[in-house]
Amino acid sequence: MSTETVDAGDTATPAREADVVVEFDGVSKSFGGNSVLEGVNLAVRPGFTGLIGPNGAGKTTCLNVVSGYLRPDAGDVRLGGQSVIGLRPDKVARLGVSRTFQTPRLIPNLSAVENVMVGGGRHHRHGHIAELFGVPAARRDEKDQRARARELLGIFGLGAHPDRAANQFPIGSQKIIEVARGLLNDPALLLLDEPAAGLGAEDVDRLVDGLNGWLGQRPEAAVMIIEHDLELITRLCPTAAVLHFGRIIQNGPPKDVLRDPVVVEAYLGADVAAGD
Amino acid sequence: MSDSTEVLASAPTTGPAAVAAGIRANAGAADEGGRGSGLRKGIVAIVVLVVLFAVPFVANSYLVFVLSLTLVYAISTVGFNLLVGWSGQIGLAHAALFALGAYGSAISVQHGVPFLITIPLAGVAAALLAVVIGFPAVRLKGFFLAIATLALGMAIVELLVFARPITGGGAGMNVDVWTLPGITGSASTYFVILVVAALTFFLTRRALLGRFGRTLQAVRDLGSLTGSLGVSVLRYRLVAFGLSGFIAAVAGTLYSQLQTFIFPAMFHMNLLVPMLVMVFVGGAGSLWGPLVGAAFAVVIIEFFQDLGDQQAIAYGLVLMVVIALLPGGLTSLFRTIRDSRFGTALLRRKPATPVPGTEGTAAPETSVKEDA
Repeated sequence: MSTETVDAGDTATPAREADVVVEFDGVSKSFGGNSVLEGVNLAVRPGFTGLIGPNGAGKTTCLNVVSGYLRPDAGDVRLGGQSVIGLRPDKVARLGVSRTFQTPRLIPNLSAVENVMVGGGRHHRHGHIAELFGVPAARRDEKDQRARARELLGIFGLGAHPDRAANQFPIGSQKIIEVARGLLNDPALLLLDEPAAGLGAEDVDRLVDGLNGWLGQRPEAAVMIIEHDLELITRLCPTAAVLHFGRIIQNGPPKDVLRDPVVVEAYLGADVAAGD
Repeated sequence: MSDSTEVLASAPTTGPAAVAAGIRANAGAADEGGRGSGLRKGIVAIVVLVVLFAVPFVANSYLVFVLSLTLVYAISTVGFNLLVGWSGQIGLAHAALFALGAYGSAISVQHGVPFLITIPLAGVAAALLAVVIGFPAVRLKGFFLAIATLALGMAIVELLVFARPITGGGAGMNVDVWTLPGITGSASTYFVILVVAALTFFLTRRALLGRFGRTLQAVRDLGSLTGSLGVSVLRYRLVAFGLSGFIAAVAGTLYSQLQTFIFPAMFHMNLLVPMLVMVFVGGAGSLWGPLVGAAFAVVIIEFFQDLGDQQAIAYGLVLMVVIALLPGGLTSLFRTIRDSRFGTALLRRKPATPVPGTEGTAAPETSVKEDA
């Protein structure tokens, strides 16, 4: 593991010495003989970590392995020391892993705030029966969740119209609502899959401010971001890992990493091939 | 929206004088979505219930029967809509589970079980069966789910024919009608149906407007992604199957009492297709759609009565036309009208010019159906 010098002064990450939040230990995965991950080793600490690399490098596969959607062929993924391999996605989520997906998926006819509330499953201590009969504690839970969901929308600068239907928001805002939904669970680990793709500059600022604001409230949490917008990675992440053909080829401060000749070659080669 | 249900729950304590005032005061706010209008809704619900309770004392038996049938279909459609509209699973065993309720109740009553007890009993039995059907089915999608459940449903109805010693086979069986002392059997049935319908609508509405409804919609719209939100997709799909089965069978028990004679052919495609019509005409995934859809279906069933075997074709055509032209069902049409300029203008003018003629009833009616 490389040194962890923090040069991005604008990101509030005081808990540098804290434990590793999630650790990939020799994770391998192949699809029908196509090796996608080849022994990925990566320790993710509190604060932002970028996961970058050319298309098809296996970035999303990494997220799918942590969040329970894929079972690796070999290796282990430990969340706070506990293995998550073999757990279903909902169990992993209940351990405190939230994620977003490349294409935003909201419930179109529910309001923004209710869409965010869908993400609060981990905090509901009462069953649906208790809710149905209006047990005070269940009602209070619902109220708290609603308040927290509004607050989260506010953090992302979307507090103005919390009761507007989700499908009436522009696509950029929908992506941000999805991020807020992931945060309602108070995750220990937030996985963001290309959160800035398709976002305008203003939305990117909202996203960055919101994430920073949230991390300020929860300094012990880790955020792993897959992103092609390297400027955003440089802006947010004190460290970035570069994945290339299923291996971590570099890991360190983004500015150093992106200057590394191996990384430059990986990117340029892929850019020519993928044309993006 | 949760506060609206709270108010709804406490509404019974409100005096009748407040009723009229409440309706008038809130009529202007009818265009304001569901928010803050819980009191008005509660009052409207109570007024409607009181009126419905009076029906057998003032109306003829035909109207009582038609209303009973509409409510039974509405109850059943609440369950079907829960599965199809809210959880997004096209499970087609609904008519069979409805039949299970009807037969289960009729047979139990024959063996001395009080009818009222057979309602929850049949519900629980059907819920269990629905979960068993659902267990393999929830892993299937769309077309495959539809075919698998359709086949199972057909098999269940076919079993009723084979179980001749207890079901009377294809010839059918008589149902002992439960009667309240002092009134007719059909009025007794009507009252039971009304109470069950009110409970069904109240409870499902409450559940669907809360976290349960949100989660079901998440499972429907986000599919397996819902897992990443800490929600077990399979469990919610199964619960939707179980609940819809429960409600189907409850409606079935009431149906048997209403028809007083049941036979397996009642529960074939000629029931399943109208059931689908009810869901989609009312509006899949809406709250009041089942009531609207059931009323519509009762009317067209009457209308198509003379077509005999061609009825199914007619229902099929209706279903296709509705899905093609009005995918959100009639409730979406109400909503569109309400949200249109004309609608808002109409509703806003309401308190200034109270009532005369048909327009006066239009305002509270649309406000009841507004939320889907």
